[in-house]
Amino acid sequence: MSALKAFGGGKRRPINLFFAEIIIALLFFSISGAVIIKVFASADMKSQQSARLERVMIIAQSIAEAYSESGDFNASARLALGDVSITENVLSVENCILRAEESRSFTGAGELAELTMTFTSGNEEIYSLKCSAYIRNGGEPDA
Amino acid sequence: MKKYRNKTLSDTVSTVGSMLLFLMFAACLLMMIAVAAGTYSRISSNFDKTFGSTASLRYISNKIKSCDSAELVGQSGIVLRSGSAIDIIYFGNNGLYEKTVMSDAETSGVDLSGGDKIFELNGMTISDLGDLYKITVVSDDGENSALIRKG
Amino acid sequence: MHKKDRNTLGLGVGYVSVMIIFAVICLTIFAVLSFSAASSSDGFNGRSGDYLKQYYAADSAAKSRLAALDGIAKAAVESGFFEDEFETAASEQGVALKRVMNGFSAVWTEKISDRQELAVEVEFTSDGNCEITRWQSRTISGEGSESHLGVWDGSDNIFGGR
Repeated sequence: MSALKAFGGGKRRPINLFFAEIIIALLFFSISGAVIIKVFASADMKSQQSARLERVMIIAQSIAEAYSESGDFNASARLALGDVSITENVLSVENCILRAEESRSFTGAGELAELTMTFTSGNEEIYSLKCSAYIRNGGEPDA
Repeated sequence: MKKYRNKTLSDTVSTVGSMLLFLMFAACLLMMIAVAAGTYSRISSNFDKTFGSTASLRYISNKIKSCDSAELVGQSGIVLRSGSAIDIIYFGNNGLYEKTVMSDAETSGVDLSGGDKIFELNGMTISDLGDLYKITVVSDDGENSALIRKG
Repeated sequence: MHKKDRNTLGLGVGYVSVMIIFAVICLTIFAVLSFSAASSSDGFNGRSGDYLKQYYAADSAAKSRLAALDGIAKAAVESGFFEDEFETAASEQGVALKRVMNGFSAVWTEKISDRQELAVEVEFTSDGNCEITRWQSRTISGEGSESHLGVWDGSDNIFGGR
């Protein structure tokens, strides 16, 4: 009876109902709002990561193309990115770290160089690309 | 009589109060919807901007990789020969255009007009770096460059 | 009595619920649209990234084979019997050989994806030179069919019929 009075009893029934409704609506809205904000935040983060990945892929492709011709990572990175500072095959680009690992093997008539580029942000790997170059007799391959 | 007057006043105050509460509530909801719409349009336009510049770079790169031979026309055009077809990709009129003609149809000079618009861009230049081409596109997102081996 | 009740009503019950439901629907629609735009962009980038990796994997495989063939060519030149030595050793590498002036042209393909391959053609000559004449990605065409662009070849018959 007292509960009925609080929500519906007496002459002030409509006002009490209005407040009861607003409280229930706010409760519902806060729960669904939390879920919706989470979805928005993840969409925004995904969009930013996606934009960065696109730029990183273009950089990786440019370095790989230049490396295929020269077989020299430092020269390829400078050609693709302009004048950047490279310390032991590590450089900072697009708010992430690019680490390059080179391996060279001598074949009968030249040198086969392999380059693995890994782009990381924090501890997370964003993208990695493996490419190679064949340098004939210590010079450029005839093309 | 007095009691009745007091009751009317309190009713009026609570009505105005609940009205104000309702209006505030409505204003907050509208603001939230506007913020959500703004976020959606920002995400969507970010995608469009980055897609326009990087997709055009990727498109030209893939075309160069798959053609028999490539030849620059000025600073913002490239002629790609593949078998009996010539593909001409050029920048003009705020966009990247492409047209395909047969090899015998165009023997002297290349006409950089009459192509189909494939991407919306603010500028595009292709420069020769010896063994490589450097493609630079300018879009609302800024400037983006890519290197590509000669085909 | 009934009239008096209506005067004290102020705002009816239900308006707030309707507004909240409308707002939640609007916000949900925008959230879903944002997420799907971001997901499609992410998916597109994922596919592009995978293609790039596949392309350079095929490119590396082609370069390894080029290095092997070049080594064979060098050994063949040094042996003094270039043609015989090179033809025997190179055919074991799984390449097709064509005779050209002063040497051979080696032709092979490396698979990039189910739909694309990297076609390579390199000329090895008896004087020890090697020249890449083709390094081209192309669409894999079916048996006997030739992929071509559907452009007008200048003929009067534009419908392809007799």
